[in-house]
Amino acid sequence: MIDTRFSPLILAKGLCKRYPSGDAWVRPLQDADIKVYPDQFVAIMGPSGSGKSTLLHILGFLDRPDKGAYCFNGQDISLLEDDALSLLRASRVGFVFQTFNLISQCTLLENIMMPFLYHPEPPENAREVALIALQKVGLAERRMHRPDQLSGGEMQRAAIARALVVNPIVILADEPTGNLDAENTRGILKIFKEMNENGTSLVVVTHDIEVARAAHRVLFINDGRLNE
Amino acid sequence: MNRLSVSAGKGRDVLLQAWRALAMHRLRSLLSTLGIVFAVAAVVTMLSIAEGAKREAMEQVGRLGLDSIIVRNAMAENDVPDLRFGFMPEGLGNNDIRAIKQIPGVERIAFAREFTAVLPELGESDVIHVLEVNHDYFAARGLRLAEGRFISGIDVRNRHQVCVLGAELADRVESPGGGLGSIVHIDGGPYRVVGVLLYRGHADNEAMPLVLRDFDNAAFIPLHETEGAFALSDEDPSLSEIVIKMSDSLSIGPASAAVRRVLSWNRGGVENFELVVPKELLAQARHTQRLFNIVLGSIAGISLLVGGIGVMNIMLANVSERTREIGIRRAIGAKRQHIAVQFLGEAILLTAMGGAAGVALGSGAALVLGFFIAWPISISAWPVLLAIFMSIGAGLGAGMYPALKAANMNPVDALRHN
Ligand SMILES: Nc1ncnc2c1ncn2[C@@H]1O[C@H](COP(=O)(O)OP(=O)(O)OP(=O)(O)O)[C@@H](O)[C@H]1O
Ligand SMILES: [Mg+2]
Repeated sequence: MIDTRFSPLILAKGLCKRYPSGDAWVRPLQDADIKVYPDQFVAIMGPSGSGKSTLLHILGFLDRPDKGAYCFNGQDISLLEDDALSLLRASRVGFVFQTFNLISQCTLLENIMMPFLYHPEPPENAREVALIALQKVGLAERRMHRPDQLSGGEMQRAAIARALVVNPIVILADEPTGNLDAENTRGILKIFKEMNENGTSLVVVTHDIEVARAAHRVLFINDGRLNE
Repeated sequence: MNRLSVSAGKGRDVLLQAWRALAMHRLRSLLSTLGIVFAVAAVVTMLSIAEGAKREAMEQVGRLGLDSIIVRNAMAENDVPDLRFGFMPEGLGNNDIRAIKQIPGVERIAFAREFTAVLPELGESDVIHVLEVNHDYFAARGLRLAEGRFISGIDVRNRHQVCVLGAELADRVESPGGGLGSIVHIDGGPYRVVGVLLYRGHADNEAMPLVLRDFDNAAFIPLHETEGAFALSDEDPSLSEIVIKMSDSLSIGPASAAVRRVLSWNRGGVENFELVVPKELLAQARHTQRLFNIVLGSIAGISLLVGGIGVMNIMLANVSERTREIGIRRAIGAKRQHIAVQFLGEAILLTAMGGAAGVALGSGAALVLGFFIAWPISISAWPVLLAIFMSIGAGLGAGMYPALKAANMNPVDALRHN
């Protein structure tokens, strides 16, 4: 059996992704390698359009690379069917997006509980677990509010609560502070650090120096490759 | 927690989510389901009315008995005899009864002579229908007693001056003491009331015009079979109705043909009589019912199709508007099937609510309509069940394509949508 503490949680080699663009190709990923060990907080930086989101989508099994190998937690992703990938996303991975992506017709609490709808083994006390997650991000009193009744910082904290409610082994965040001011950014960072100390790995795409500074490692993406 | 309660919980969640999504666009959801509402309402209304009519027809035919044949004087049906000139239309007579008795399978024969008379006990000195009957008549026509007794064979033989009154007539008679035992005068003669019939209801409806008389407003007196003023004779065929009971209902077909033949023979080919065969009426009613069901089914199918297209249209709009939501749900772990179930659930919830509204609307319309056209209405469980199945089926049909479209979206494209 693989000892997951010393083998990488995320191990990807030679990832390629290209999109047709008129007669030519856009190649956001060309032979990109990435390794993330358990408990690591990794920041990924790079210019706009360099393929950061593309990489994160592949790491979160939302997309498949055109070429390259990807092992998550010792599992070869290319061997898994669509449903198995959904199951991995439901139980092992949490996503945080720049635009929060809460579901507008549902209350905060319902949003936070939503991952349990798709979880293979939802806890019996899903509601309590969701409330605890909301408490961690300081939004317990706002549980019956709709997303549009919240500020940007609050929405992002709620989105983080949704990501961590299933207790994932890694959180993938795509510019989580891109729409937030300095103070809210600090709030989010504080939550990230706490989570990281509690054993959740973090892969955060960011333009923000503050966020990059908080990370253990910073990777730069350039010409489709990742450099330390 | 066992698996069942987990899936029950998830079912509830799916419904709640569907409700949330539909509630986002209340008016739009409402409008999209109107087609289903009207389709279901139409079906429930028509079925309730048809079911009521059918039940009434079956009951009436059943009361007549499937083993009976009724012969009626056709002239008496159309022309009220003008007694001032002593003119009586050619009717049915003793020779007819004798001939019918020869037909194999005939068990009993009941008969009646109808005339109109004045009943002074009626406040308004109205004219009533009087039926002179033999004692078999009540059983043969399926009449039932509210109180007292029928006219018996002894009454007929001994020429007792007794009578049985229809339910409404009994109510209208204003005699001191009223009811059983009181004396009423029919054409001047005193008759003692020995029985009152159970109320039958006005049966003169479109469904069964031939079979029924207004027994509720008739008086029955014994028909004396021999001698006297009202005696039956071959020369004076004056019966208005003969009811033939067969030993079993299988021989009805040939027996009714035989009856027609002998009566025709007795009249030298003049068909001034008509045959009512309940079994044939029933078959006819069933046939009509089947046709009606086919027409109804087609109408329901077409309106359901149109309603379903409306729902599908809205569901497609929902799916494309919520592309991003689909991406988000996929990102937090939803499988394709979860997405499909979600949108299918919305479509079914939409049509089920439309169906429920349609059942309410249709039942209400049936009641109102039944009130105005004085038609028996029967709101039973099966049209409602049918309506529920119909609307759920429409939801499935209309929601399937949009749901699959949603489920098969590429998660990344869905997330990048906007
Ligand atoms: N579905 C697609 N079809 C065509 N081109 C695409 C598609 N998805 C992404 N691209 C292109 O791939 C490149 C990388 O996109 P990506 O979103 O990964 O960039 P990014 O690094 O996240 O940029 P940003 O910092 O602006 O978010 C871009 O040039 C983009 O236009
Ligand atoms: Mg991006």
